[in-house]
Amino acid sequence: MSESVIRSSALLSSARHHRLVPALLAALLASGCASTTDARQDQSATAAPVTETAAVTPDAEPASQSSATRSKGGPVGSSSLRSSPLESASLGASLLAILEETNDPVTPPEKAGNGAAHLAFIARLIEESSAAQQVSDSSNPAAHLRRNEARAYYRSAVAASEAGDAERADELGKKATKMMFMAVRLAEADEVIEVKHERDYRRRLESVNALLDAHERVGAEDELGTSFSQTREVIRQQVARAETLHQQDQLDQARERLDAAYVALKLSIQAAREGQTRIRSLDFATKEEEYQHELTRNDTHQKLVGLFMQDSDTSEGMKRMIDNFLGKARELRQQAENQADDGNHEAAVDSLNESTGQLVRALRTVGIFIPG
Amino acid sequence: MSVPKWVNPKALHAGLLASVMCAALVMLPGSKAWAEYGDVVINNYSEDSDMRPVVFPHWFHRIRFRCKVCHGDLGFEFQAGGNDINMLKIIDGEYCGACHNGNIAWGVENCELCHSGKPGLETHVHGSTLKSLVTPGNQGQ
Amino acid sequence: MMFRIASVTLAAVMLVMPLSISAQSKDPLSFNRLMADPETRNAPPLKDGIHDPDNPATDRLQSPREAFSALPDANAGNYVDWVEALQDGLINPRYDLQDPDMSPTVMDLDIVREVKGSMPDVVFPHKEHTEWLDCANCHPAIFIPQRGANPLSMAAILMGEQCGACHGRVAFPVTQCRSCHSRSKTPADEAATQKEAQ
Repeated sequence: MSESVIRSSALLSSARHHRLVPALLAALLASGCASTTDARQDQSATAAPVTETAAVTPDAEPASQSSATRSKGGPVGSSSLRSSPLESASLGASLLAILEETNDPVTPPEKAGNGAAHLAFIARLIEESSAAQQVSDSSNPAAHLRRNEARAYYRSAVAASEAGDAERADELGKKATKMMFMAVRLAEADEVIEVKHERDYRRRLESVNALLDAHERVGAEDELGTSFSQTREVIRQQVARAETLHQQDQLDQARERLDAAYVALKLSIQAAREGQTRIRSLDFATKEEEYQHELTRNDTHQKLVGLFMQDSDTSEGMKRMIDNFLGKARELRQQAENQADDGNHEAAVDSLNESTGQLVRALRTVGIFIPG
Repeated sequence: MSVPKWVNPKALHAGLLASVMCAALVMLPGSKAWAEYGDVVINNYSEDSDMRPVVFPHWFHRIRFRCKVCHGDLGFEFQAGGNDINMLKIIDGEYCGACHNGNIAWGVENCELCHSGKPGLETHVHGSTLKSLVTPGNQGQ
Repeated sequence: MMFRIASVTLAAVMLVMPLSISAQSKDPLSFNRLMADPETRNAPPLKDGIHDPDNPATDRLQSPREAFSALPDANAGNYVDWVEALQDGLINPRYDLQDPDMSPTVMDLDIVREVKGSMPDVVFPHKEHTEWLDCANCHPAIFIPQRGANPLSMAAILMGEQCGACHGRVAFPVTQCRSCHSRSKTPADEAATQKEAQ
């Protein structure tokens, strides 16, 4: 008999948890490894040993079970004979953990090399991270059990690392990480996710309201008649219903309804505006407004000169020309600002125009083609 | 090292020094990083937890998903580091974890595939115009 | 004596070599200063300066060059024309999280924005944007869907606001002037610009 079987039968005689003995026997006969089944989120502690057994696990995951069988090297009875010492050690380690429900924390590996640094990280993940905290705070025993499994895998990984098998250590380390993540999922802290879902809902609601306003404007502008407005009313009602559900804390249904309204709205606007062109002309109510616009235009050109001049291969002569233009542009801008302060916005606009013109010359010198 | 009598030690030293210098020059890493445009380096919490910063490759995802899927359906903001992503959220299936769960894409127990950035990088979008303007001469590094 | 000359000459040659090599790597397109050298662009993760080569998994990450070899070229950004790649069917990225077969709601609506000065007017095409994005991605968080409500400034765009939320970060950068400034002002246009009633 292989090592794991001998060890387990020794344990049998000293098993403190008699209810686990039949499960343990079944586990011994199984070749599957628990990690390959997806976590059954609602499993309780008493059901947890069931996940260890290939035979008893619900057939929801037959595919992964059979792949587990393949990965562990064959059908039931023979696996423990054919499997490598390390594999048996990991299987035995899992069972050991379950049996003794060991809560012993793990520590970083002592020997360096062979992936020890990453293993140290995994040890921290299992014991000290915010994930670990979440599991510790959890009242779900399945979460704690999963963490013990993670610990068991981790110990096997350290053993592999010390034996010099870096690849195996990495594989077991990944299993440990995966187990720990499953533990975190079982430990279910909803608050963080709820906050995000709430925020996502509010954003979507904002978009829907903005687009409803746009819908109204489109209807008025293009004179699209009553059926268009009626569509809008129906959509508004759907949104109102979504909001009611939201008030009742039924966020998932509320979001679903809101999304349906959103899609209908999108399609309605699309049908109305498809194939059109709209022109936004520059109209300034006052010279002052135009001055403000010219200021940002001047800023833009300044930034563009900076952006296009990054290549340090500009020759000395070119640099001097550009500095010349920049200097003139600066002067003209100052002149414009002074004129604006004096209230003469018309002159200020003209000065700014000239200033920007100097910047355009600088840009052309750098090699950017600007027409005009 | 035994040197023949006819070798002038000064010339030898000069030659060795010159060789070392140009070897150093040639081997010095360039000041520009040629990473892909749009790669997002995220280092809000990674380095504090002794992990390498995350490098998110937009190009790889753009081939497979339209912008809407992540920025609309999954709720990602248009801002590097602006989503306050941490592993707990990912493990719970939000953000990256919505796909990187072993089903749609590889699972997050593969730490090094995401946490693959050079230590010390700050959160930024590589190659962005903003970065180029703010730190001229360093193409968004 | 001979050895002295030889070693000094060798040292001089070795000093000059790196400088001359970098001069030779200038290709004829060096006029376009911001265009990256074809040798260095789309570098594989091990060499790109951002990924840590000491990380064990870095060599498993795909090289962009490999993925882009089948895609149409562009002059900036990823050096890939993503819009053309999509329209030509070379890529077919998923549109919806839940439904893999959903087709996008594309709206063909052009917004022409007049600009001051001699640069051509900007045309914003909803079509190319709605092929990738959802209405809610931009409206109203970045742009209010209302005429007159969005004063645009290129300075802001360069600093990452407005269009710069994407253009200059992930979508083609604003060094591609003609991609947006695409509608020339004709004398007829300037004389009788279609002024929309405010």
